[in-house]
Amino acid sequence: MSGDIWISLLIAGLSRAMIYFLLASGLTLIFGVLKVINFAHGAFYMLGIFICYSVVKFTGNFAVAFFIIPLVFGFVLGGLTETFLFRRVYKAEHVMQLLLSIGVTYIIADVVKIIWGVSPYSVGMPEVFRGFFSLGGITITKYNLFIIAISLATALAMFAVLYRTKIGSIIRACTYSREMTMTAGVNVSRVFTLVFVAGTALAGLASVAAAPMTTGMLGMDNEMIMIVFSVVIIGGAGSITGALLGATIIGVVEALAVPVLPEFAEVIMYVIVAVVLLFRPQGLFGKSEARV
Amino acid sequence: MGKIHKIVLEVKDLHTYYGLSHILFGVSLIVRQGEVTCLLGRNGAGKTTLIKSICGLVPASSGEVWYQGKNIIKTPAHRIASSGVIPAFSDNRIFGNLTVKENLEIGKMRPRSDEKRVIWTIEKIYDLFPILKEFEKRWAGSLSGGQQQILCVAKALMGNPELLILDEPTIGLAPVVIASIGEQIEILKAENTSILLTEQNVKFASRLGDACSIIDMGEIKYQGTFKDLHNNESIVSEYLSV
Ligand SMILES: Nc1ncnc2c1ncn2[C@@H]1O[C@H](COP(=O)(O)OP(=O)(O)OP(=O)(O)O)[C@@H](O)[C@H]1O
Ligand SMILES: [Mg+2]
Repeated sequence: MSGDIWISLLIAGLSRAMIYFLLASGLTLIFGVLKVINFAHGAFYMLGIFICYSVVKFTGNFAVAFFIIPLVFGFVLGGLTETFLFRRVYKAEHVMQLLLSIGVTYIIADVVKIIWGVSPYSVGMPEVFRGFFSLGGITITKYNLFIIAISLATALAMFAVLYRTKIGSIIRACTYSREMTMTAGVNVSRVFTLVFVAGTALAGLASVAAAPMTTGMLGMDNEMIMIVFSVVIIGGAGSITGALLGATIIGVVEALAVPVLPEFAEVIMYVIVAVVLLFRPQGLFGKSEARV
Repeated sequence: MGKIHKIVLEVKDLHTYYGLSHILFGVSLIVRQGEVTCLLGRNGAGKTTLIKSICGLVPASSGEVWYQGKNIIKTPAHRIASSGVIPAFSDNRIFGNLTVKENLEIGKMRPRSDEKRVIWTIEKIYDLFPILKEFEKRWAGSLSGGQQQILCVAKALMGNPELLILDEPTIGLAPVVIASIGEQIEILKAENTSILLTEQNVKFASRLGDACSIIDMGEIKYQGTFKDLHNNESIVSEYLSV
């Protein structure tokens, strides 16, 4: 195969990686602050894809879905699940938190089944993003470039908020010590809600970004949560930088492995996880020093 | 001397549990305006637990904590802090993943009362502790133990406390650093700040303290002045010597 094809594969891998990153960054942010692993994050993603399908179908406009769904996801889905469900288990054992998030996963899967049935749906590629850019022999689909740009912009915005604003330093403070943050006069449970809302909005953003490149079907949430959870582990739980790096590694290796080792493509992710954990049990950016 | 200052905080018959273990057994304590009230006791006596109960970090099972005319026993921790009761703990001193300046800014609160006292601002803190200005951009976790303790106190001051609670500020520090922490507390006291100070270091505490209580096994065993305490060798040897 020629070098150009590898570059095209690399770009395709990067755009998948960015979807993993958007999901993983939400999951890892929530974990870093709330110390809860929300396994329902994958189900949120699946739900977003189906909602995106319906919104595009009824409005005929992808842009509407793209801007509205992340907001609605964050404030409605995130706000409600945090306030009425997760808030009750912060002080409970980890097993209880795990059971709750698995329960939410099942509820969402059933809701999807009731509303959309069991057949798969695709959100068509929006008109503006159809086609390629050609540079020399390299072809890059427009949509892949769009996803990469949007995701990197999101990553930059997250870093800017976390490291350049007061609320960002409060969020980082919460990851370090809840008690000390409270004694600084901060209402920590409001911060929890805010972070859960932001993390869930990121899941919504991942859904709308992925929708034109994937097929919405039941069970896709399980596959995705395994990948995203692996990304979080590789990067180091709680680290946004780690999520970005972990997602890039998994997305790119996956894309490049398919033509070379098709039969191992699915195993490779777990091999990467095992190798990273062997040498760095806390993940690449895991907290030997608590950082976001 | 002689003048009795008004009460800032009054703890009455406080009981606290960690799970099933009963830690505080009916503790009562008074802190007066502008004084340094010392709470002495050896390892595991219950000093930190008492402070956490006052600050709303550990729920007390019964008893009262009176502050500004209200029983704050059920008030959420962040409200207690924003009403001016601000602790500086020795085990969790600073936010290691924030810069020195961010540590100071996160605890910033406006003064609440019209008592004639300094108003703490970041400039004022930098004047008092120049080392913090020098290191303002560093990660707080990279500071030495003594520097972290200074930042810990400075961070609490940024909240313009009505009552500053210092939990064993000297623990694990070198004698030179302890001496300078002592000087800083003298300055705060001269500025009419009310302080509740817990210590195992009786010598350090007696140089600064006005009133003194001794806690052991979760009970107050002595309440009085340091002068009387010095005349009472048996109490010192029973509850304070290691
Ligand atoms: N989180 C906890 N869970 C259960 N027991 C605890 C907890 N924290 C402290 N204890 C117990 O409560 C008792 C009082 O501890 P506390 O930390 O209040 O003592 P202290 O006077 O502050 O001691 P030190 O001088 O060592 O700081 C001890 O017996 C301790 O083992
Ligand atoms: Mg203690």
